[in-house]
Amino acid sequence: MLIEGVAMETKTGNSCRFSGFIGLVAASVGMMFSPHVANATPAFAVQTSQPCSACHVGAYGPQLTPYGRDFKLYGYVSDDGKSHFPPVAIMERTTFTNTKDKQEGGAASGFGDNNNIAIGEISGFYTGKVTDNIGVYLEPFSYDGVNRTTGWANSEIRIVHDGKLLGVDYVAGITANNAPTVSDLWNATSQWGWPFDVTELAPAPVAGTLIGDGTAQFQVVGAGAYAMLDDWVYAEAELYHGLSAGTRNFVGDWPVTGTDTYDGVMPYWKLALQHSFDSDHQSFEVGTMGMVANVYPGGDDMAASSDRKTDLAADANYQWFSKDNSNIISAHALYVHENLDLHASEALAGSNPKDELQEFKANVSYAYKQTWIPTVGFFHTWGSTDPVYWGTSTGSAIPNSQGYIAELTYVPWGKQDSPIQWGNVRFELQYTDYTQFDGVGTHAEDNNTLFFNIGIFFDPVPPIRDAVNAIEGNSNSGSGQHS
Amino acid sequence: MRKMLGFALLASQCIVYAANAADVPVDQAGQKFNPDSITVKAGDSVTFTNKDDVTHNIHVITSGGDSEDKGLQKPGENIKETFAKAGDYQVRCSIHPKMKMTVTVQ
Repeated sequence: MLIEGVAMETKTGNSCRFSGFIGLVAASVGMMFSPHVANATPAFAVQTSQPCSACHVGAYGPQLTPYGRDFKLYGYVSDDGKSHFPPVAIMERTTFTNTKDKQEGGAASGFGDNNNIAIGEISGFYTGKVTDNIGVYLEPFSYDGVNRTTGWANSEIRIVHDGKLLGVDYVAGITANNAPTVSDLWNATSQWGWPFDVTELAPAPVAGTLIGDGTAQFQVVGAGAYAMLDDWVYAEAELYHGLSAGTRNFVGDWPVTGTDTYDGVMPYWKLALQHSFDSDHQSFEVGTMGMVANVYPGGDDMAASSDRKTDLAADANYQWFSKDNSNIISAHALYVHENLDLHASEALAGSNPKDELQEFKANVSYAYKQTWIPTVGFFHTWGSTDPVYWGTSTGSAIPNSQGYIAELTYVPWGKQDSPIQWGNVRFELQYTDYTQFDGVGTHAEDNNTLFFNIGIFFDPVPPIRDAVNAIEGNSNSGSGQHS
Repeated sequence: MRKMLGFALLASQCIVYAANAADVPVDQAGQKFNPDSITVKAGDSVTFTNKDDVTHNIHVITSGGDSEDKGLQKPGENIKETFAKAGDYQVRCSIHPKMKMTVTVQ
């Protein structure tokens, strides 16, 4: 028997299927895994005349190579000097999900108890250089084929400048975006962390943090500044503000009713030490992050005050590339400690006045010829005992979950010798094994999930332009590199 | 006859000038310029050789900010740039933003 759990997960990281206050609060604390969107855009490949593998480990995002991090750091403006307007891309994901035990009543509305095939996502992107100093990564349109909703996803505008200050090289910029950590150059935090694709048709643990799970993603907007000094020290600070219910409806955030409302200004910061060495064949990063957010649990602002979440986090990343880049090892780790001052939840429902939530995630991947990428990962979430606040699917008073994930990815294209540079495809086979789920060890394995994902990602402009040029007898497509 | 003499004189001056002009090699390897800073005389040239396995796109930027795109440079290709005027120049690859060097022309 499957542990009764969350049946639906939205791209905002919220869950629904609870009732009363517990449900509202549970909806607010997010999910262990927020569904990510893959994010190597073929428009970037066309813009730079570089294959996907130049920027991405595994030749398909989002894990960045040293060059990929530079491309992002310098504001997405690097190009081959040609015009490739408009820099658009389209992505589609088709998924198959099997859980060890079936989900009575259906994995989601309109889906069966088990072995579900779904359109995971159809997304539109506008990504590229705007001016020599301004670049964008925008995903304004993302259709969620499970919940049948459409909204925005990871989006960022960067303004950048570089030079020397007192003899030290610097890159400095401004970022405006809609999700904390979307600006991160590394791949341990919520928006770009592994697993890059997850299913919405399997149970997921209820507890998650701001930095580790993106529980505020797409419900906020923010802006701030970042700087890299001497290719060693990275600093970033931003201020976010929660969106009103009307704005969330407009951008497609779903569901709005009964979910958290972020109150006031939310500071986010990151400070990191990072460097590439050995001719960029090795690189590392160690960083620390923090965020403070005031939250009306379940959107209920009737209490005298809101809950306050305070995240302190640390991440570490390491990459090794063989001399010919045919072998790549990547390791990522993240630890988050979230303090919860539950003024509103205590007043409204009698939760503890304070709780805490911690999580640790780590994964290691090996990429062979940027084509075959096996990855293994471990996750552990644990927190204080509170029979009211967590609202776990099991009824447990603790939010603890733990398990392992193994994945094999196959990416046939996206390399220098691929037949096209304006499109790519990824096949993922992923298995999640739970040893503890929402505070319960017994039958945790019933939630184990086998997930198969096929992602297709392409820039529609070059083939259209080529076709038009072929008709007109003009061989100069201006569509970048075609080999 | 005077015209012919004039052309001959001009041609000989050009030959002497060319013979005195130097050509400085700069490698592009590991997505870096090597060396990353050089000093040449006005009229000297610099030959950039792409020893990487990726395409580069050199831009020569004057101290006033004017940028000249030298075009895509595939692996193994050379680009020869003559620096006729004295000044400080920056050479960057528009594809690889960290790849930059300075050329001081005296």
